Amino acid sequence: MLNITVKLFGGFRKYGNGEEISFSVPENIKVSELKKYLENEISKTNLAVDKNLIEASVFGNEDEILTAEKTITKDCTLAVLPPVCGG
Amino acid sequence: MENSVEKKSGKITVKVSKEKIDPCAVLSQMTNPSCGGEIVFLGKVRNHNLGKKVLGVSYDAFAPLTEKIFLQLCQEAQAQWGQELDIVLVHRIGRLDIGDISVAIAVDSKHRDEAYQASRYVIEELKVRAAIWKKEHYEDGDSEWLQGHALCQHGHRHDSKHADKHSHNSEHGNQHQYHQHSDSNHAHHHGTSSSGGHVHSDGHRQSSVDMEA
Repeated sequence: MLNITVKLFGGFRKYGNGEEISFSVPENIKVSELKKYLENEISKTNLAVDKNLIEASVFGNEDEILTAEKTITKDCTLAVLPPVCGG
Repeated sequence: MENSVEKKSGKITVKVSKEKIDPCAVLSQMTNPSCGGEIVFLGKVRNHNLGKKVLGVSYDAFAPLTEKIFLQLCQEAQAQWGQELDIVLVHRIGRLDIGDISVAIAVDSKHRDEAYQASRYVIEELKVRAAIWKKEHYEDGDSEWLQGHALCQHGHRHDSKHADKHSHNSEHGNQHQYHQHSDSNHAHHHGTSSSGGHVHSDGHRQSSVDMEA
């Protein structure tokens, strides 16, 4: 199993401690499969899961937005990126 | 978050910062004597949105990624309107009051046309590609994260020209939508040019990423 830490931004800050959520996933999991684990972890909190927000979000690291097909092979810290509205 | 890291690449300076943006300080960085056109765009916090009185806005950002995206946007602008362009792009995060400057874009070019176009390109792309979010604070004590444009996870660049072609998942009106795409209808853009460039979709890439905790 791999340990994944997901940094929270925007609408996700209402969950957990507002900074990050951690959970375990199987090795060699695709990024596209992370959402169900994130949703499961959020469902453990006392707040309703915003499935639309999760569906509309992507994952990234400090360098790039990760493609859905990428495979995660090591423990890592990612960020969940909801729809953006800078400016 | 590390929000005050400044990166320079040629004549590009980008920054995500908690500090107030000083337009004079931004302008002072434009010193190229070969440039005859110089403009500064300032985005400010307004006191209303969708019929609600706004008291302030809190900006959130994934700063390391956002600064890399800022750099990319500015490089794309240089590729289209001239490598000699000087560009400064600064975005503020944290709680801002009405009238506070949220973003500043300064472009220095040989002629005015390139400066106007490059500035417009950067702000429009920033709005749909930078990892930034804003929460409005209202007079009645309520607050709300605004919903904007979904980022692309298919390895393409999802630019402002094509954001409106994507399917919507409307929740709160025109400015409060997830602009979301599906595999069947979305158009993506490759290369360094978005205006007038060719648009197509292609297959997904298979790749692996090694990341340490």
